[in-house]
Amino acid sequence: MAKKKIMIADDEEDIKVVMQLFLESKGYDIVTAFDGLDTIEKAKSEHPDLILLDVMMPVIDGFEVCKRLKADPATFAIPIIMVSAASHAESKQRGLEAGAVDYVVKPFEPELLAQRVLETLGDAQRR
Amino acid sequence: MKRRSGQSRRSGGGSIEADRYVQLFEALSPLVGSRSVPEITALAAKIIADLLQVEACSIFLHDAAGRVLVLRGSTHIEREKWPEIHLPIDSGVCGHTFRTGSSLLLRKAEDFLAFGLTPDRRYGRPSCVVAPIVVRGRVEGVINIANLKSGRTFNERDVRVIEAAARLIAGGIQNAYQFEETARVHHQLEELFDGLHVALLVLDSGLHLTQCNRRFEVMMEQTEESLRGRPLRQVLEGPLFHACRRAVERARAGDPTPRERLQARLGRRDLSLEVTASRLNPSPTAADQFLLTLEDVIADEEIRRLREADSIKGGFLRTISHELRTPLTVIRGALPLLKKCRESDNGESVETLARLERAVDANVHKLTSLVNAILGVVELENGTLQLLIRPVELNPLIEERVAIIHEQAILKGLELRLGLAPNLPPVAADPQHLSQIINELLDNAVKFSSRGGAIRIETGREGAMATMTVANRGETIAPESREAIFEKFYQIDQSSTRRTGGAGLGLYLTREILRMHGGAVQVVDGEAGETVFLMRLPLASVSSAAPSAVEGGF
Repeated sequence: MAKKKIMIADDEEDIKVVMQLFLESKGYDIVTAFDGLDTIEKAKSEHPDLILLDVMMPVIDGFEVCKRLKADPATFAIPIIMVSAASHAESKQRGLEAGAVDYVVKPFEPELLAQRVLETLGDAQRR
Repeated sequence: MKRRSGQSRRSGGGSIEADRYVQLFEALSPLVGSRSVPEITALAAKIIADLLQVEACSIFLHDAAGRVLVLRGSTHIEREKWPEIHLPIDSGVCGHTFRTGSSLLLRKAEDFLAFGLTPDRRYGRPSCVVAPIVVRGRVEGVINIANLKSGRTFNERDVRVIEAAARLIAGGIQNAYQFEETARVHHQLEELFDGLHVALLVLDSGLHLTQCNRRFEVMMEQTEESLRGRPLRQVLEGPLFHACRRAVERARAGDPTPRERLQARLGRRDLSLEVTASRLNPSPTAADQFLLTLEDVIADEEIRRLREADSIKGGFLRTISHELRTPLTVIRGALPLLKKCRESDNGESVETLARLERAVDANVHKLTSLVNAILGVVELENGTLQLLIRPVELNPLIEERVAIIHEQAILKGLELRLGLAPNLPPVAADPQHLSQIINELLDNAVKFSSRGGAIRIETGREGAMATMTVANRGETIAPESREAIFEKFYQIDQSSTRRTGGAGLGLYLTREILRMHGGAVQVVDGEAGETVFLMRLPLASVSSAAPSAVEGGF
């Protein structure tokens, strides 16, 4: 079975490196994006199976990116997990309203993230 | 508009077909509705280069201080590097267009020479067009297209196309600014309206409630929705209602309205209230509306200060939360990977290990600086910050911090030039705090430098004081902001350039601690395009060789 491709969208270089190495060790292919615009462009060109989307990003923020991806037929089926340092309920609500399937708060336990990714990809496959 | 043209020369390829122009404008028009200036400039450059089939297209906008042009759209440089690419405004082709507002057409190498630029010999037939981007009558930036290696030479028609594209881009930028401004004002008003400890009501001329703020909702324990449209006489009890009615009558008659004070019950509480009304005139044709304020006079000043602090802290807490959690995420994420590297044993993992170590190192550094800044401010404001002053050699301390920041500087192509005065006598300082201060100034210099270039660090002596200057080239500080940057929570451009991180505390703390030392810090003039921070510290006098404690803060 082909490897699943995950897109990591975050403007912090170190976070991308660490997340990439970790998820690659779990057997995923990784593609990265460094701001809102880049995320949208790459979602269309790379067709990831899942997007890990940081909320605080320059040019266009995570919520807006999520809304746009969900509004576009080319990308709306890609499940999105929002990742953010903001833990309060309104942020989570906003994320889910924007179309994300899940919301993870930083700093997260890497294994926990891997678990959520697996569950989400499993769900997507079953649909 | 002035045009500069070289000798007319027939070049191969002819001019662009008319339908290409139409395509260009169709492609650019949707950008005009975008709310994000960075999005507009990033996409426009790409669209223009693709459709006009030119080798490169760049868009520059001036920085906050208006002293340099910052890259905001480019087809041949990766986007992450854009904020670090700067062009001067006092020289060069783009600088010329920016200053004069005139387009430029350069058709051959000699045309470039006239601007003091020497195109590389590799570029066979260099040619470019630069047009100004004018928003509300002011030049905000420039757009330029270039063919350097083998593309066709541009002509007057290309200039007109680029000028038209520039106008579209300007229109988009203006809309985005307008939107940002409106959103900002709206947000401020909302916060103001909701944050006041004063109850605000809007009444129509029949004294029905049409709007109220959060404070009123809370006091009445009802929502604005449930109160809307109800006659005020029903909402407020007798004496209070009459006081309000009187206030509205005075406002209606145009009397300068004295505040009426009375004891009254509002919601569940008996309060000392001040009642004022003023007329709201949204437009000449709309019916009169009145703004009624009910101010709780007992709680006034204290609450006002607390609320102000609260709303500043609200934004601060969000930022701080992000700034603390991000480095923690990196460190937490790196740990299982480090373990894996230790267990496996190949060449790849050695490199990975090095990368992870750098990441953890840098993020521990960030966290440390941030925690120091936060705790420093807390101690300062509690009056418990204690400095242990003793004679400290300034130069070695600087060299130490420079060594730490060295790697980060190299990644940005920066050279750190030290000009440390030999035989500088020791200063009277707390070494730990002084080290943090030097760190803060160096960190900022690296953060705000353009790619490439140098950071100058010099020490010297002025009478009984030692001086240290840190100078860098890059985003400049507007003269009117030179004082503001030292204020608590001050951050440059919250929105799209958040890449710089931090919480707006570093410079504030730096200045306060230097003051406690009997020193100072300020931004001074340097060479054009340079940002220079000058720090002064008293030299340790011979008699004060013994360490002494200075307690301070407020």
